[in-house]
Amino acid sequence: MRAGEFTLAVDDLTVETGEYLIVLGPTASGKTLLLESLAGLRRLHGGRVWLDERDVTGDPPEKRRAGLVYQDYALFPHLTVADNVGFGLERSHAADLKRATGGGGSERAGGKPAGATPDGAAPPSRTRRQTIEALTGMLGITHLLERYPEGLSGGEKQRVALARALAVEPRLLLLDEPLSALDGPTRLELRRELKRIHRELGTTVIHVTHDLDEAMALGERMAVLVRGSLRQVGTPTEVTRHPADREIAALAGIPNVFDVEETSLVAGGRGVRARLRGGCELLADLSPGPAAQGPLAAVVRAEEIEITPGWSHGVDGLADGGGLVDGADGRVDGAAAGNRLRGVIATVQLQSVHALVEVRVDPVDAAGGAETGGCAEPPVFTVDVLRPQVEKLGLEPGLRVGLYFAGTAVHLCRAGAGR
Amino acid sequence: MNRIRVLSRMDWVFSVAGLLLLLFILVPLVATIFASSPGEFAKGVADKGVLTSLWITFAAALVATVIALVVGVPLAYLLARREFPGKNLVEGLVDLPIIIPHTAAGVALLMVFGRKGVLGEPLASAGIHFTENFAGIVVAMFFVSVPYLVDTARETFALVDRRYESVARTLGASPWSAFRRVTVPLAWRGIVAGSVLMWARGISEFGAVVILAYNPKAISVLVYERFAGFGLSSALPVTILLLVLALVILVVVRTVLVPRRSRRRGSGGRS
Repeated sequence: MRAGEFTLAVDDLTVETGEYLIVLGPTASGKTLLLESLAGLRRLHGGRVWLDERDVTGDPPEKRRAGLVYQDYALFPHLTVADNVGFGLERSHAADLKRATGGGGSERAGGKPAGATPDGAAPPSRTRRQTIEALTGMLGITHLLERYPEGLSGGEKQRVALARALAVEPRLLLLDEPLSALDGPTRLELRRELKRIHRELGTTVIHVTHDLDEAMALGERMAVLVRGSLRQVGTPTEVTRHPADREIAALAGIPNVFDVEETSLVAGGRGVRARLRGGCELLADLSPGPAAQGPLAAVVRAEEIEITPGWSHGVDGLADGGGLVDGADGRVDGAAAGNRLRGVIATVQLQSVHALVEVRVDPVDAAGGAETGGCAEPPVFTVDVLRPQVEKLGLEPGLRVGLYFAGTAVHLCRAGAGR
Repeated sequence: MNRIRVLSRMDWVFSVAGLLLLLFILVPLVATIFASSPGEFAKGVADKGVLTSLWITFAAALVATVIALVVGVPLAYLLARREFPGKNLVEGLVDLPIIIPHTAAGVALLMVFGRKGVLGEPLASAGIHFTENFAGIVVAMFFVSVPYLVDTARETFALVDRRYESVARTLGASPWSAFRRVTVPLAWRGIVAGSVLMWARGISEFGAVVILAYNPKAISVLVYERFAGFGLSSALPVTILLLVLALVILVVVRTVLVPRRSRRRGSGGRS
């Protein structure tokens, strides 16, 4: 798929019927282009689009029944809310739709809990008016029916746009950053609403966003798009725990990403010893990471790191190596191994709920007794703690702290940009 | 609206310059309107030749505009929406009639529609003539005034967010249906404004009309004939009539058709 100079390359992406797929990508990663291509609004320069076991690549948008909701809603300004919602129910092309889909909505009815909504299993004979009322009732916008879009709030516009798209019983609902233009509380409200609609109607949804929280809250599966190429597909947990490459790690909100110079298997094959650029070593579990080809990076999620103020030697059988402990001490609930580091807090950034603490890890030599080669350039770790912890532990710049994270918290991924 | 409290020196200079320009337009108009007594005006205007001329002129301009709606609006839509090789050339071509002197345009049209013209000769044998008749006036008016409709319509179409059409398509509308139910309702003001502009421009055309069809007399030809044959005072009443008419058209276009912020229109989805 191509638009001007921009090329969007998607090798293969399958969405199950009834699934809620999140496409996560930064701005200008080709998300809108992907949706417009699926809707049939862009001509493909190669590849095919299949919908319900049917090749729809050559079908115009009106034959595909893929509802598209743009980021700023694109409500028809010359029509009332009722006429916006009812736009796709005009007799003139309602007939076309029925012809295009044969059975007419039966595949969707299967995914619906019986009687969950007034929308129910819509009989084809239902009138335009009834459909409009059912949908606007479901979305709580019945009182707006006679208004024009211009005076509506962002949240109201979004609901109208959703109702308009749902009115034609789309086989696929395409949402382009549907919540990005909304303020905080409205965004949370509509997030819940989207989840409810999806549960009640069972419509297949592809929702693109750059917002990780939104992706985690809504996505059953997540596809990561970076600069026009599809980099990783998996559950939100898989993607955030095991990002496939460095850029995805950044998108997944992981601040601790370090280049790895060398890896070696730990004796007994229980883990991988990863030597970071600068000399420090981390112990990682054997994870379902990428095939170890090309340069690697080690990523550690900020919230997986435990921080302890002060430092006492020998606690929990700490090795003085200042980096890595083999699992021999057996302390960590069943995990093969853990990483213990010590250092000094460099900065503490308070946020609304969390606080980010940057810890400069000691060079091994300074910690006394370096056998593992020592860190010439000690890494800086960012640790995510809840705000009350900051006061409770007295975390402040200059404080000496110990860091602990399990080997399972360390994930090795591609250091480069994927393909 | 007390937003501007102090006029800067620049504002003063610019205002004076603007005022001079406005006076230059306004003074001749006002002077002309008051140059003739009401009695002379009534007598001059009530002349049967004047009324016939007016009727012929309005009708010819209307016919030209209707033809332009059929062939010009689709072109305007294509120019606003699609990219194609040679688009710049097409846009230039559409505007060409504005640039060339209208007498030259008349000569060029005569080469095509005249008795020995490329189209004129075969059509004449079929009994269709384009010189010294109503059709000739229409052809001349069409040629010189169609750019106003195409340009206005193109700009209007370009202002309609193409995603409205995209959404309409995903809701099951064919391209025709999306055009009819979304694009046209959002662009009609511009199309009508362009039509009125074209019509008004057609009415005021002299150069091309006089070369293609001196008779029947379009109103501009009539004014010229009276001025040349009987002098200023004879041309004056018709001139006044045309000026008043032009002012009315202008007011209509500006108040009714130029998009205002209203409930029914506005930027819509973009907020």
